[in-house]
Amino acid sequence: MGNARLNRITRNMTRVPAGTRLSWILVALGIALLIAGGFVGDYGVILANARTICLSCMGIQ
Amino acid sequence: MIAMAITKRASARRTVIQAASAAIVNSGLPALKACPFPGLNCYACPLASMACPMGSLQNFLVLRRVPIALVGLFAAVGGVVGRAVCGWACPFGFIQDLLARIGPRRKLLPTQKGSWMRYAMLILVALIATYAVGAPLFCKICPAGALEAGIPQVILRPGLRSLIGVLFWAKIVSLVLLVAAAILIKRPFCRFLCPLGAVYSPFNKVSLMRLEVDDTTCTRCDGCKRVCPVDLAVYEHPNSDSCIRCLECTRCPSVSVTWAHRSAPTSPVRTVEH
Repeated sequence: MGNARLNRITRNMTRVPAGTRLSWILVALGIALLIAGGFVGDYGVILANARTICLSCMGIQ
Repeated sequence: MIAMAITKRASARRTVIQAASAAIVNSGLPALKACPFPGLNCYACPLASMACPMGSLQNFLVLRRVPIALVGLFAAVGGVVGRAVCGWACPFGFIQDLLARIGPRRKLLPTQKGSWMRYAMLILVALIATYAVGAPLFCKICPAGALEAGIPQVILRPGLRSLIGVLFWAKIVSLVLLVAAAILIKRPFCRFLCPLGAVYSPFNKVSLMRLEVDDTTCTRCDGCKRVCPVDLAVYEHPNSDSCIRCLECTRCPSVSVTWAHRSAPTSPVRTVEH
């Protein structure tokens, strides 16, 4: 087996799979959006809604 | 070939974690109501301590706001564990697991046909119709809301009883039907109707947490399918979007959990769909 082919196989074995990169990108993006949501007041909106007695949830309205 | 089958006994670990999760999110302490819980849990429940992500998502649509934090929550949780929230933390899933235990040993409907309905519920009802109508339409038909909010609130607040109408009784009937179905069919709501499950489902294929099946030892005995809460044959689709990542199938030595950053691309085991 030539050195070039061996190098290529070794490189492929140690390379991070594309799916894994996507996983990390998603997680990083998710955390960034969770933080950004705080700056634009998303948690205040969630709290205001969650504090009300949701008549739709109860099936009243 | 070494024949593998499910030899380990069922562990109570998942049941304990599900019960603990349900207790924490319904602890009656409203300190975390600004935080959406990753699983389906009605925030109109008198004991709810966190917000329901699906109710909050619809509220954002009604207010014509972009739900930045909620999208972040879905991406972060889904990116790490896929649909594991459904299998380990969702109180409504836990209730269905308990109901399945009192049913016949051989559960009906061991198929994933119809799982497209949960995507339809998410896209058509929880997103498009909610935005168009300007009201949280999924909440109006949500059986978790009937169980966790409708019944207890009507009992605790007599003033609400005069407001009860057709919608309330329709929700009660749908809850009764769902309970009956959950005794005969494993997790019918999670498999066919849950829009939150539809949000997390696509993440199974790209999450850091994956399932691997060792093809050299798997005999396709269907032991994994028998113990699966959603009747999946994990050797066919190790990272199916229907899998709730409960890890019951890992009682078979041929099935294992792997974290994507550790798996080598030249591994002989199967991690992706064929």
